[in-house]
Amino acid sequence: MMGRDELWTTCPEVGEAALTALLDGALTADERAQMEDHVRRCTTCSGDLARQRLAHLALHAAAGNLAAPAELRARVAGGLGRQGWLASVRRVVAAAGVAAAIAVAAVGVWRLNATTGHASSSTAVQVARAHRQETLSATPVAFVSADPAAVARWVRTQTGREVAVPDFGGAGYHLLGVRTESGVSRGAVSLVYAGAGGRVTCTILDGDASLGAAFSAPPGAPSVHTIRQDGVTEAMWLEPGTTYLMASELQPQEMLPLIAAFNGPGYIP
Amino acid sequence: MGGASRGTVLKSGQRRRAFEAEVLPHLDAAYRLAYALVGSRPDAEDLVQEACLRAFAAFDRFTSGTNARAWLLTILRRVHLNNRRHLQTHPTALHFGGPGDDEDVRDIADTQTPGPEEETLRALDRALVLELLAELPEDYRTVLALVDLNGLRYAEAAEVIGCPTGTVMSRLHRARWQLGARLQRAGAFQIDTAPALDAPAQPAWPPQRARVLAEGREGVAG
Repeated sequence: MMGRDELWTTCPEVGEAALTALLDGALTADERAQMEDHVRRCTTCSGDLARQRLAHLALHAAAGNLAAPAELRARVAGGLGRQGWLASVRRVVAAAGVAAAIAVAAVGVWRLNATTGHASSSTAVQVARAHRQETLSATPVAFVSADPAAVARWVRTQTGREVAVPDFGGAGYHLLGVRTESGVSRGAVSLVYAGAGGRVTCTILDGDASLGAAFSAPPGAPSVHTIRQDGVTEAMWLEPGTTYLMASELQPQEMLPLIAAFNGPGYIP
Repeated sequence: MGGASRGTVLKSGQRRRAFEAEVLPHLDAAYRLAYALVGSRPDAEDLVQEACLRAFAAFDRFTSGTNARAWLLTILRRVHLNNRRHLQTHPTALHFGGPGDDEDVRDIADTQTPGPEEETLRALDRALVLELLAELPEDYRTVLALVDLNGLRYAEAAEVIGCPTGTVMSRLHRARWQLGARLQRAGAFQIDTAPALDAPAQPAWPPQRARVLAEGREGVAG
């Protein structure tokens, strides 16, 4: 912390902006001549000017040549391309209708419980709505990146939440990026993926006690519950303190490889 | 550049090429501002990427031929403030530096800076300068990044920050004073109280007034 004797003392004859203007060459010739004459006579201003000039030059020397890394340029260029591609994909998905089926992988310990009828959970409804309105829009994510580490870093910056961003490459789906999902709950985020079956939303939120019977998990057994409404399949599973909701146009069985990949060998801690 | 006016909707490929030609040349300036704001290379990269993509999404509202650098930096600063608001954090002191943070910047000794301070600057530790910069309030880091790191004119910096030009100048004065005082206290240099104008007071960037006059003759420049 700066002590009292370190506070600047502005010369009473000139304003603080005048020295800045002198240093930066913002004065007319006459103004400059007058200021230089004053500085020669004034120890306060001469010391002030010298200190500011050295700070200005030191800072410029330290970081004035700082350049954007090549990898950043590549990421930006890739993001621009993806934004244009996303608009095209949206048109294709809208025209194609139901996504093509994909091979169903063994699910191991997972039990799939399909629930018919409408979900009574407002969270599930909100996630389905967000999938249709946001994920299928021209700008489905706020942060565009295929790098799970960068996406995790963005989530941490935005929400303080630590998330493990899964890799669905083995199932043929690549990461598009992430958005916050404050409309679902505070601190919720949605990872968005794209592949042959269209786009997939993976929403991560705090353990949601409001999820109704449609998503209740039998005690003592890991399971994934699904529900399908208005053309959107949602799968839900719980971990202590965290709820995961995956939404897509795929049929429930078609989502199993992705759900398995979320917690399988491809899981990125 | 292609002459697209405000509100003109370009085709997808045209749009991207126009954006790359007008806005992306200012990526380095965006990176320097981001680095001053967030203090780490990975976070600065993320901020720049997010800002560029938001700028691209809003590119139809940009008037070709106007100040693309100020436009991009304005968006970047707003994205940063928005991110901070979401986290409900207040600006805090930063800690510059981390793995790889030294890789992109040449040593101060390699920088050719005119004037009698050259030897003093050669001896300066870049890490010390950035460490002391990190101690300054965010408003001061912002104006220093815009004017001293990126060479913006006062009016441009005022446009990015959204304040009067006079505020930029007084904030710049105080920011440089504080940084200089910290450098002096850290023993980086001694201030000779004798009149400091025996040698020309040359800033690192072309004189503000000359640039304003030049742009008045030639029209708005980026």
